[in-house]
Amino acid sequence: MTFNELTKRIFMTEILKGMALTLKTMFTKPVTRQYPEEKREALPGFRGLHALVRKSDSSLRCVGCGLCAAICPSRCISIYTSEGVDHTKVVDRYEVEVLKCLFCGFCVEACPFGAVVLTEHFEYSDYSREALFMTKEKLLNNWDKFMAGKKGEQYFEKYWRPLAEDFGTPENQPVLKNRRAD
Amino acid sequence: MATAQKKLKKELTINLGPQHPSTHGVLRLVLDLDGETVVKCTPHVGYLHRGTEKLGENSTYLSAMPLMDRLDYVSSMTNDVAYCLAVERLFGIMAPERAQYIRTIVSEMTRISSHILWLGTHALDIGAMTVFLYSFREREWILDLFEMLCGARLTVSYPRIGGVRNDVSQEFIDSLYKFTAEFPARILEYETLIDQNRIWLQRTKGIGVISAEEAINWGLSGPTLRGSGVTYDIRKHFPYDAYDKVDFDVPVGQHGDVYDRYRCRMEEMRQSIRIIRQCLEKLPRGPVMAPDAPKLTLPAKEKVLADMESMIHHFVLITKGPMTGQSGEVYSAIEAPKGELGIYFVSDGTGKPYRMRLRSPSFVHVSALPRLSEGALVADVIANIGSVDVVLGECDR
Amino acid sequence: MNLVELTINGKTVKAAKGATILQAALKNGIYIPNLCYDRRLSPYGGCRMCVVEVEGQKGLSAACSTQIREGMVVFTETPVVAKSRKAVLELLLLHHPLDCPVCDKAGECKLQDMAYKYGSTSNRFSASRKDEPERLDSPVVERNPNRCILCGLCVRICQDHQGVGAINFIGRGFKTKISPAFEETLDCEFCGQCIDVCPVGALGSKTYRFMSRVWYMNEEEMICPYCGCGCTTNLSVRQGKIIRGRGKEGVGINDGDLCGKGRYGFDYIYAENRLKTPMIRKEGNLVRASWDEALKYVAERMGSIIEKHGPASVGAIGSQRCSIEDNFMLQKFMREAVGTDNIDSAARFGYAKAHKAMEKSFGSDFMPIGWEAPLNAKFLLVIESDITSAMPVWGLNFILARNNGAHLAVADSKETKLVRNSSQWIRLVPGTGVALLNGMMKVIIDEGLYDKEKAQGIQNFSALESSLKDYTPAAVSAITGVSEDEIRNLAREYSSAKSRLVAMTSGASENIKSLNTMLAGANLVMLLGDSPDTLQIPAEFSNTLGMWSAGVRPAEQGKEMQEMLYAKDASLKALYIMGENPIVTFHDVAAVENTLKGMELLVVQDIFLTDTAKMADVVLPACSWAEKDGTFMSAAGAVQKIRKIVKETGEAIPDWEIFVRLSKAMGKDLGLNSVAEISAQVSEKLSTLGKNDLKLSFNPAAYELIENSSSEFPMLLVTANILQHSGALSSLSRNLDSVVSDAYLELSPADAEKYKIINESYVKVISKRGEILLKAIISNEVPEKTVFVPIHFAHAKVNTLTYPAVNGGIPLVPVRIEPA
Repeated sequence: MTFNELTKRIFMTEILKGMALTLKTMFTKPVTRQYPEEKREALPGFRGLHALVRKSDSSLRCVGCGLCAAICPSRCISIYTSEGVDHTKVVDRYEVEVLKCLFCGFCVEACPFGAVVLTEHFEYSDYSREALFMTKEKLLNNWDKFMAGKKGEQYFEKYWRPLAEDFGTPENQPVLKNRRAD
Repeated sequence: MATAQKKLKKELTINLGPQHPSTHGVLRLVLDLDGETVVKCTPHVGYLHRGTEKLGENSTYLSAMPLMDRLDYVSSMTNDVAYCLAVERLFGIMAPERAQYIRTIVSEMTRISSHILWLGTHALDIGAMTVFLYSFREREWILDLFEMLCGARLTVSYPRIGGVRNDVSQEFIDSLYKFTAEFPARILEYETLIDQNRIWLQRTKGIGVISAEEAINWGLSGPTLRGSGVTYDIRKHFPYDAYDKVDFDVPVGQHGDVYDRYRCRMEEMRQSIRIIRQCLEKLPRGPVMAPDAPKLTLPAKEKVLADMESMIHHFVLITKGPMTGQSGEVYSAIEAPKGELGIYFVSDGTGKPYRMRLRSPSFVHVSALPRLSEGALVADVIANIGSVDVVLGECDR
Repeated sequence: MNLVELTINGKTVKAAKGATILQAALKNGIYIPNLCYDRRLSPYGGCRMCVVEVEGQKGLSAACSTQIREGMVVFTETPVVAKSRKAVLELLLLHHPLDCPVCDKAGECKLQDMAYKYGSTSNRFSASRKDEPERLDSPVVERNPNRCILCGLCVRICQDHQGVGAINFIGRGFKTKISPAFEETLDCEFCGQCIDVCPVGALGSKTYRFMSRVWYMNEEEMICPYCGCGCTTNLSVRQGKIIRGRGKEGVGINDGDLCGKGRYGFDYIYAENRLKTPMIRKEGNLVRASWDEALKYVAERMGSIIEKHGPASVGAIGSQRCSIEDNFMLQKFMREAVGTDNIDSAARFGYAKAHKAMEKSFGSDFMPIGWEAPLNAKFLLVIESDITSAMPVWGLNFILARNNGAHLAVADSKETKLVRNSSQWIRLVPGTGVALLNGMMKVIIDEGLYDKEKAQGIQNFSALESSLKDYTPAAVSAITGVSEDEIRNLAREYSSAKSRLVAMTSGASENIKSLNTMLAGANLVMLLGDSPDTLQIPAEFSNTLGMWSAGVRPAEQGKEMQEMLYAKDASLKALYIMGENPIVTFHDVAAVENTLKGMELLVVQDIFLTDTAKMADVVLPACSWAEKDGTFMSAAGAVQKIRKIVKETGEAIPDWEIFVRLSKAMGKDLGLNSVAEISAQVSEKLSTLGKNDLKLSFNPAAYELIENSSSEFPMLLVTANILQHSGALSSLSRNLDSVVSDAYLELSPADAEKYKIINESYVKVISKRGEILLKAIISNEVPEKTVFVPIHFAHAKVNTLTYPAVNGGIPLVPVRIEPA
């Protein structure tokens, strides 16, 4: 053991250094948030609670093709359809068992019509299973509550994938600014 | 006299886990103790078994991916990358270059987040609480970046067969670049706290020693293997995605003890930052989904309701999965944060794998725990569990 | 068989001479895509998906219509072939509507699969898409011309295989579509075969319309609960509910063929009057009770009756719809726990006649039909039976035999489907089949056309000879209305044919045939020296043969049905009815009702609250066929498994289990507690069937009507089955009811004029037993002086008019009709 090491050992330099760091950190702004008093908005495109899209005439956009249920890895979507009065397909029940859901967003990708979305709402915990069993009406309400207006319009442009641009090179594709390669 | 002594020397059997905070999940170790020395250590796994392999065999190639997020749930991105790569190799397709770079970036971000989590919890197990708090601060940052990227923080489901779900945004690139600039200083902070700390050294140096040869024989991989001085890294030896286009070092240890494994991981984080920076700088322009595999990837949404071919392909891919019509098998492995994560597929040409098998590093590492722990003290068992970095979701599958 | 050797994709394969490349390839496990090929139909070559390259041949050949040659070298997957298929699909998809999201076929659509496997991923052309209205006006079948790819499978299966020809191509070029003549509402037999063969969603089942997607459902193979064919129907189950039935290639004895009943009739188990709990009559009303309560009640009442009147005062009626196990347990319970031999079933009016005829003539106790028997005969003679409606899928073999070149002669009064598909229609007066057979035999004997050596060696030959002396062609012609020449020619042609077959049905509801008809058929068979299996009389329902073989018939002194229900002296005090509805399905309802009312104890064990159940003292709910495990024996003698595929309704339990519990409640354990244990005993019992030596003997059979028409009742009422229904069970199926839901009366235009009856108006039908009200339909199919009435509908009460046949006489009902 060298003299230097011995002094470090006697004066507990490494421990003091560490304590200096913690002391210093005491005077920085805390990074912890006091949830639930202090809330943070989810970032755009967050895969939260499901919603069913309402068309401009306030009817359901879903036609009940069942592709969302087909691709769902946890089989949490069940759709019941029947023949309507004018012999068209009517979605009687569209149910999502939120407790089973993985929030992978595959249903959104599978939907050919853009009829199902995942909203940015994530505070849906509840005491009962029933509250987390989403019926068609609840899912439509979710749309009204969380996605109506501009948010819903923008949603599909950005998060309904893949779009044609994913298979090509769109203009102004983001890259690191001022990089050497350019 | 001899018999009487034998009777007195009774071993104590205790259960460590499955609900023990330092077993990192639901690992159960049955320890036979002679005093404080571990005579025998028997790991019991399977508490978190969800039948992922079987579920995978009953789902199409497309829809099984979210299950992979739940293997090693602290590094879901690399699991997804491993899965997509395996399927791509089975189908004989390649993700476009930009997607490969993006995957490399997110894989390395995952490595950092996994290592930070490991560092925090491992230090917490050994008694250093502050590191835990600091490490979670940075982990949060990475998770925020993931959320910005794909809308989920933990179970990302971001890569896709033949590319990635969506392109990165300018905001993401800028924030990530900022992160790479700041993060090395944070690593220094962690090191200030524990690297030379005498308690840390006493708890980790010379503990759980495993030689290079033995480590290889036990099938260890990743930092756990490299801590013993073996320079094996799939990213270098069998490069995938963009790893052959970036420059990085593979840190190795010398003694094969807990401390060296810790050092390996700390250095790996620095290397990850290097890789991310290079990738960001080199990130090419181009598609993020393979444009040359229309039978295996979902068609563009604009086309689905415009032409019959796309609609049919969309339907068939979703309801029956991508079908090649050719049988075959593939083993594809990547360097996950924990070690070698391998996926083995046997395909019969239908949209669902005939057999799917996961080679998870945690399972192998758990099997090495008795080797590391027998003869050591109970407290060292905890250090060992931490140092091999197991996640039971992946071990039990 | 001559085998030809050829090479397909470098693999040397062998196939029968005359086969096509496609057949040879499919047989050897090489897949060639096709859209217009069907195993049951002749080559068409319409879709051009099956094109292959043949070495040494210019251009591409259609594999489905190119015969194989020795040494042929075929390549099925070359770049040229792939390019051609791609182009075909591109053109097919050009006009196809983008409605996969609402098309019920999506997910099992052949066009989808082909387009994915062989098609291009983008279309080079643009064209307008088809926009025709959907046709939903007919029951059960929906048509969407837009999705149609004009493969013609539906047209051909309907015409060539099913023998109906209800649809065809209409229009030209772009506007071509599949439709009935003049684009009218589709009105066919609604078998639904066209729906199964349709490779796209152009033809669909209306009952399944928008009900589900294929990936939500599990498909279960089940035996059809209706007729004796024993077809396998593939039932799709979603969340514990059966929502669709269909046939599948290579599955079951039917190889994918199904009639409307097998395809749509499964939903009778969802009828509204399903029993959910046991019920006991208290103060005149049936009230809900627990199982323990009900069983205790039955055990006590039954016990006291046995004590008071002896076990012979208890009777039981088994069911042709219940499994072998259920019926076995019924008779075991009756014989061992109660100690009575009074066990019979509705088969007494139907299959028992056939059995008796076989037993008397051939000495055989077990004579199942041969599924392929029609295909092996060159001359098929069908006596007053529409086999295509009583046994629809077996009936297809008769049509197939005719298509293959056999002579199919049908003696029938009505123009049935089989008549329309026959080579010769002998239109006779209803009920005179026995006279016709006798007349034929007379001619055969007189002209020495019979197998003298064999026939004269059979017992009673002289008695037969003498009994036939009155049946000269002239006499028979007078009875049957068939000309003398026709009878002579028929006899000559039939006796000179290389291989022969006589077939008739043995339905309980049919009153144009009786024991004598069947005996006469057997006589004809023996006279010509044919083996007994050239007389084919199928058992009527899904488990008639199984029930019969399980021992649901009096063994020794037991009372037969006539004595149990129609005898004047009421010796029966208690009756146990399992799965039968005598008030509706048995003849002479008034008499039956009277007997049932006189019972001290009437226990009805059923799945519905039937009219009989409403009279019962105790009603016990049982499981339907899809809710329990067991076996059915088809008319062909095949024992086939039925499985529990959906949950039981309410508290219902399987029939066999009721007997297990009931016997325990009576303090007599039968020692069998599971289906497996019962099955073991049943198979032991069944293993002895058909093992006895045959002992041939002629039984002279005379033609006689039990009741003759008179001036008061000038018309003869013929009761029979119709194709869409089977017994009274199928009328509880909503799907089948959408096709035919009410009884009707068919009469000839001449009679309609005579009695001033307008089409689709209501008429009174009066016999000496009572009168009923029916809707009249004027039809050319029916001869004069005859009215035809289907028997299936409870509310029509047709059986008010009928009566059971006591001996070999024909139980035709003389009636009078009046406009209501």
